Amino acid sequence: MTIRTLLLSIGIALLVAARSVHADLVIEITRGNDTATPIAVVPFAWQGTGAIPEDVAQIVAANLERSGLFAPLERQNLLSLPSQQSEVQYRDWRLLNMAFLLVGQIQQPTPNGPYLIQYELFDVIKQERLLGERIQSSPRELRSRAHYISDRVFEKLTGIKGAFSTRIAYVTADRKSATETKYRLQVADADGRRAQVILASDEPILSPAWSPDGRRIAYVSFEGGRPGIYVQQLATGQRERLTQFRGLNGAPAWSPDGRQLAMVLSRDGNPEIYVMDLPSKRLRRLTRHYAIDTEPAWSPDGKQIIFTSNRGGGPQIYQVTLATGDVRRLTFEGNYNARARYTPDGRQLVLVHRNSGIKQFHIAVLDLETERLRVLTETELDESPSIAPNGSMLIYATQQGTQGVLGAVSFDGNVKFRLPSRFGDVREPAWSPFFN
Amino acid sequence: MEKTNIGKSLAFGLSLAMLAGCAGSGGTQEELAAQETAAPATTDSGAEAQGIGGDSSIDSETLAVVEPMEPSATETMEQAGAVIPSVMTVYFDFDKAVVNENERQVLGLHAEYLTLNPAQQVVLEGHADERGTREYNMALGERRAKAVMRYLAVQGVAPSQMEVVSYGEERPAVMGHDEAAWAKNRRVELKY
Repeated sequence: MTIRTLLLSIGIALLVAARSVHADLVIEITRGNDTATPIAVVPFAWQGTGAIPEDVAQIVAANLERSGLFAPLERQNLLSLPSQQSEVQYRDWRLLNMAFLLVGQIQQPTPNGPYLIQYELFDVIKQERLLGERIQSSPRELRSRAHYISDRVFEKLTGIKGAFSTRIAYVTADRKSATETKYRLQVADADGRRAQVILASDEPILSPAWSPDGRRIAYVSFEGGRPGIYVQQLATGQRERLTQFRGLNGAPAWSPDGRQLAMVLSRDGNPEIYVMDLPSKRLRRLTRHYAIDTEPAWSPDGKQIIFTSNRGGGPQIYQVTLATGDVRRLTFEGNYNARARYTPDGRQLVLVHRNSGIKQFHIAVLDLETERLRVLTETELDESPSIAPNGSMLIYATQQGTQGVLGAVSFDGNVKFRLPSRFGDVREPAWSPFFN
Repeated sequence: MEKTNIGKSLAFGLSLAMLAGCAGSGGTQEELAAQETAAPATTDSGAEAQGIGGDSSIDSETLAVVEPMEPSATETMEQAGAVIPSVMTVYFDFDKAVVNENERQVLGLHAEYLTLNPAQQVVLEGHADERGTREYNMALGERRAKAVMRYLAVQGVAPSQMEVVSYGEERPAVMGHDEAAWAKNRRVELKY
């Protein structure tokens, strides 16, 4: 390792260490993918004065690694540090068995002015450039730009739209004493960083759900001692209480066009699924059964709603066709199947599943065509699966020792990681839609 | 023991005031009127919606016996329905909302107390253990509370005295990830 690389690594390590103190959710990778594509992400050359607030290349490398599809080369193994095409020696990267190479440079032409970021992506085998772009950024937006670059690289190499610029909502519960818990509804980047509290309460908060345009979040709040469904505008914090009925008010689920909200109410004596038309606030009742019917979710084409019902004895997943009202059962394997969600292509469901054992609640995937069920997680006491809008990864709530943490797993099951919070239990994750 | 009785009077008064407020907001809301609230992004909603300290009339006859509470005297008075029974929680099996045989005696004491004190209100708080999904557990908690309500109603308690609320798995009585903890969390609490 050259002196320059060593100093660079130390400098960047210190920079990153300083940054991670401010993260609320910390990512711990528990399983990597052995078949991931090797890519070298070279630290972007910083051509300005003073410190740069973010290590853009490190963010990109971490994003690519977390997707489960890429294995970024560790920095101490970099043979050289090119920052533009003229400095690239393909031989170096072939020696390291890299398939792809990402380099870049960052300038700040005017002091305290915007940054100019240039990045280039190369195919090492074919020895050709795949992507080259120059973008601008304010200091505040550097992380967002790094996610943008990650999206572009990811999409170029996989054909799948990148989800690195998306966000996650989740609830933290900070138990201060036996009778006092502080609940917070938070929104963070998909990597757990830049978390912001959008609601703080002494009473439980549940079931955050993003509107399809990503501008609003619906949730259940027990403020005042009884549950109600609220919709809050993210930009302004302004919110509206939608329901205040006797009994349950829960499990809000947005229709794909954002004009309706499915929910569970027990106002008519029993937990049933209703659909509220948002402009008029009119309710339509979907289920009529003395069993528990709850946890609705819409199909991507808006024609069906799946829900959890114990009408067959224990909780299972059922589907109701909105045009006809016909209900049919979807799950037959295992004694507990609940809280199902469609994948973006509408062909599979992710759900909470238990086959046997008292703790073995796992996240499973049900193929709607083949009706085959596949267990995805090895953690226990799993709940609340939420899928990234590109279908590549899902996030869920689980236990790690005595602490509630978030877990994430790539859809092929190859990469798994955990996101514990530094402030108590974290649960109820909800992955945002695409913003771009 | 004067202090204890005054304390209990205050407790009844507070409960009545709070429950009167609760019944007002929960029971009459049938319309779907939206409430626009220009709340800031971080809303501190810890404040209870109902006022505390409202004075309501207290049925002082229930506290006619002004004597030291000895254990045997307490039992006798419980059986006479003069005071709130001391056991205020009943427990359930996993994913079940059926009142178990061995819980019936406890509920019988509450039924007796409530029928003898028709002005007394009780909130039946349903809960579930942490396993499974949160909204399903909300419904399960409500099921359990309603099962208790039905049982009490059969014993003669007026439905107007009872209110049902579920906290699902959100308010465990015992923290822990084993059956010992879970068994203590599958419960309905009778809150006066």
